[in-house]
Amino acid sequence: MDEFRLYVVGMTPKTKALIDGLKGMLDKKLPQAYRLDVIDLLTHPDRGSVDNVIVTPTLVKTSCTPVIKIIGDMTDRRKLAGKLGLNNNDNFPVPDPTA
Amino acid sequence: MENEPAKILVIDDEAAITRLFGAALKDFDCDVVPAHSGEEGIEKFKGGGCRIVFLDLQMPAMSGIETLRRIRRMDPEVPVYVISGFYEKYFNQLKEVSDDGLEFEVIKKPVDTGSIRAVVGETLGTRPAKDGK
Repeated sequence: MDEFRLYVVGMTPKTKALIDGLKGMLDKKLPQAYRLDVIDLLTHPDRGSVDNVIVTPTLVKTSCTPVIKIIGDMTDRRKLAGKLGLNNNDNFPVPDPTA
Repeated sequence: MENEPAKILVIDDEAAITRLFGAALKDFDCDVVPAHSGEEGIEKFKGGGCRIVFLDLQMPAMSGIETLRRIRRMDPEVPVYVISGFYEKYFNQLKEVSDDGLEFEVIKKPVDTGSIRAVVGETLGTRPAKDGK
């Protein structure tokens, strides 16, 4: 099962829109099953160290090796799916942009 | 406007940090505008055209929190990255701001060249103008 962790700060309207959009994309791309954990660093600041998070928002696909880490704009769902290796013709993991 | 370099405002009382941003982004098509206090940052923000704001949380006089609130009164949309350690004592202050519905993101302190370049590149959707990585 594909597993993801999304790191955010606060549950603002923008954050909620990001989560809804991400869930919509994952429901479409992975209808069988996936797991998405949303971590609010304002409530759990220590949790960021698990994935070496240096900025929000950060999305981590943890169910692959190496993990895929995405930061910045995630509004383009098709591009995001490609980066996560969820498009049929784009299954190559992208390098960690923060490395 | 689209062809003009992106204006990136860096508000931090430590000159070494604003210089670090300038050095990290020297090969991006952007102007790094330093401000060394919240007050100076507000004045430079009023000049308009900021695409991204980096804002230190801990500053003398006008705090990062107050600076963020003032920026948000002028512009609710511009991406603001608060530079902060990922510790509860700092995030408790930010939680109040978030609970008031103000949008911001955080970038971990200490910042380094790689994270600055990654954040700016991903936020603006651009890559360095020159091959200078």
